[in-house]
Amino acid sequence: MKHPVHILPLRLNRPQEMYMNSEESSKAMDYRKNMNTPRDMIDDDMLLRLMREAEPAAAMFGGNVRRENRRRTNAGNCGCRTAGHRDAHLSDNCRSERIDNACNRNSLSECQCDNENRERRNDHIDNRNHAYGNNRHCREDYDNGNTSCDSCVKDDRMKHFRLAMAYVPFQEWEKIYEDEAALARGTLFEALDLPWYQSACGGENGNCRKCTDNR
Amino acid sequence: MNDQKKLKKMIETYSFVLYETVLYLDTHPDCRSALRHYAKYREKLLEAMRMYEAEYGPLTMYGNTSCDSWNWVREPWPWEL
Repeated sequence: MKHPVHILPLRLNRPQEMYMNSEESSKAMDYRKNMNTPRDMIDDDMLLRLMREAEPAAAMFGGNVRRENRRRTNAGNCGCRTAGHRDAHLSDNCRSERIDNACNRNSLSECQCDNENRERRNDHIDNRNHAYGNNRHCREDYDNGNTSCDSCVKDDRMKHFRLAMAYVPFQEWEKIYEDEAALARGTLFEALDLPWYQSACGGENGNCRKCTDNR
Repeated sequence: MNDQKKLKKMIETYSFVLYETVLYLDTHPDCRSALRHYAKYREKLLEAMRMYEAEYGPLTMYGNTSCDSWNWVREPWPWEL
């Protein structure tokens, strides 16, 4: 029996944030305020690349890599895009020119967009409320003397996922850079000279895609 | 790049290599290869610092060797070079 290997961008987002400057990082940490998740900050290209990288590991266990369905939401808005953006087609039904003003979290119900993302966004919020509800229930149970985990860990959304084990290989003394190369690369160890990944918002070489598009 | 800057760059490089090796040794305290690397670059760094301070003045406040003047405050600060 073959088991699919699930790719969870949510779990892979943290290392990218390390490469962000303080301003980008603070924006990324606003995902809760914007009713969004770190998972939404990974674009399709990056997700595909992550899947490709996972394929050899999946093959070792006789499995395959399958993409989890994820909701297409945009940070801090209802799904509308400003004109000129590479995903501008999503804004066809949006009568607002400025998404920041028309589609923020507080005025979601007043949003003028009719595109399907609005429904998805509401669904997204429902899921979040569900999660908060579980936490409240868990805390109340604990206060009432029930310290078992039964009420805390049950979450139907996770029932299809398998348990995972994480490991970190112990570093070995090998492939040492020459001194000048080490200073230039920022590490003495070739094994730690890792490639520069995309920024969390999808731009190449750490550049913010939104900023690049607006140039 | 003049000789002073070359020497300072050399010190920066040796310091970086030494620091990386120290971080490795923190988790691999018995690694003989890393210990040899540490000893090699420690000697290089100390020699480069000694040469620099003899020629251009103290690199740190502990490098003042003159008994006649407090050169640490008279020389350019390290970040002014």
